[in-house]
Parts: sequence; C-alpha cells; structure tokens
Amino acid sequence: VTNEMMRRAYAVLASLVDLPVNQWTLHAGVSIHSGELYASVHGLPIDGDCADYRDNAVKASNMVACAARLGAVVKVRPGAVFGERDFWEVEARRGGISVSITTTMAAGYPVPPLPSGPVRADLAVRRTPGPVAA
Amino acid sequence: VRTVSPAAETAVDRQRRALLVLEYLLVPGLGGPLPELEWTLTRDGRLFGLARRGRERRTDWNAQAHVMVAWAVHLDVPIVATPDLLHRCGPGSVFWSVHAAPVIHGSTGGQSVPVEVRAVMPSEAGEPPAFERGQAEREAGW
Repeated sequence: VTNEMMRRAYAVLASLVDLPVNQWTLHAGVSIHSGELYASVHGLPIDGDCADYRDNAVKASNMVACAARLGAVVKVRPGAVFGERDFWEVEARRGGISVSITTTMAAGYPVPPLPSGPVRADLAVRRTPGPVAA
Repeated sequence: VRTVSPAAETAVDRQRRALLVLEYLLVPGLGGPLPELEWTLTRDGRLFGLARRGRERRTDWNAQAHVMVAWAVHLDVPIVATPDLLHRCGPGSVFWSVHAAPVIHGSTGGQSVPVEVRAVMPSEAGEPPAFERGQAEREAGW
C-alpha cells in the first residue's frame, strides 16, 4: 500500500517536473501522529545558483511561478531556525498527495503578485547571470 | 521516450531522465517490497534514496538494514560502509550506501543516471553483510 502511495506521488511529480525547482523529494510512510499512510512531494526552488542562498529575487519569482501553477498562494512566516529569515511555502494537494515547495528568504522580502495570465514558460528558466570573467 | 543530445540537454531533460529510472525502481516486484524510502531527485539528474523505515521520523535499524540489503540485491551492488562524521546516530555510526548507475537507452546511446541509496546506521548495527553479486538474491529466495 505504501508503494502505491509512492507511485501516486511519482505521478504527481512527473506532472510538475518542469516547474522552476532545483530538487524534488518524494516520501511515503506512516504518520506518527495519525497512524495513517501518507505521501508527499516536496520541492526547493531554483535559487539562481547562488551558493550562499541570497538571491531572493530569483527565488521569489520562482516561488510565485510554482504558486501560480498549483493555484495556491505563497505563505510567509518567520523562520523558526534562521531567525533573521522568513520561511516561504506553497502548499497544494494533487491526487491525494501533499505537494509543498519551500525556501527561506530575507526577512520582510515582499511577495510578488501572481501573474495575471497563464504562467509563462520563461518563468521556469529565470535565473541570474553567472559571474563575468575579468 | 524522448531523447536529446547531451549538449542540448536541459535540467528538465535530466530530471525527466532520472524520473524514468525512478519509475522503474518503483515498479511493484522490483521496488515493490521496499517501502518507506524517501527519494530525492536533483536538478542535475541524480537520484538519492534514503531508507527511513519505521514510523515518520522514527527509525528501526533492523528494518533499515533489511531495506539496504534489499536495495543492494535489487541493484546488484555491494553495500559500502562510510563513517558518519556528523555522528547523527552517535559516535561510531556509519552510512550504509549502495551506488548504481542504471542506463537509459535512447537514439543517442546509453545515458546513465547515478543512483545512491543510503541509511544512517548506529554502531551496533555492525558491518553490512557482504555477498557476491546475485548471491543474496538467491539466498533470500527473491
């Protein structure tokens, strides 16, 4: 049964793989809280290839692109671990599977509005330029 | 299966290729008896599996060891033990891992997808069992 949940999570992930996400994680297991089987898909947004994770503009636009595709909003709450940063999260359910995309952002960074029309394909590849050789 | 030349391959292409391998690994009868494994798919097209057997956030070392042996058999590779320098399970704990590189065949030739399955094990788990390729599968009757 757990494996069936994992396969459902896989199907959900396969439908979302073109989102601007850097890393996806699938998990299926038994909840310690309810004892029920559950499965989840979790993503980390593309952050502009910035090693110190400070490229907030890229992360913000990519989180909004994910929110638009999933028909969700970007929720912001103070980071519990990194006190100086906020925790951004997009949550949705697809086929009974929990889908979440999360990142940490500079505290107080404004959430951009959702695009008014369909999510444009170029949102999925928006990145910052790489370093320029001297 | 859509195939592309390596030079033109995008991150999404690499993820899709890794997804094909993951789908294969999840086929009942292959990945079927191996539940509660957490899979991570990276943008450069690698697959990481983490044995997290037992209830959420709680681990059952014997069950994890079973998972690792099953994956070693499934992928036909030995289990490698590496010291856990972060001591997640206390001093002496080790990572058990299996590494494989299944190949996706397309018009441009075979393209491998790095796959690693790992568990963090306590020192009392001892050394992982060693076996010849195919031996454990025969002994386990799988």
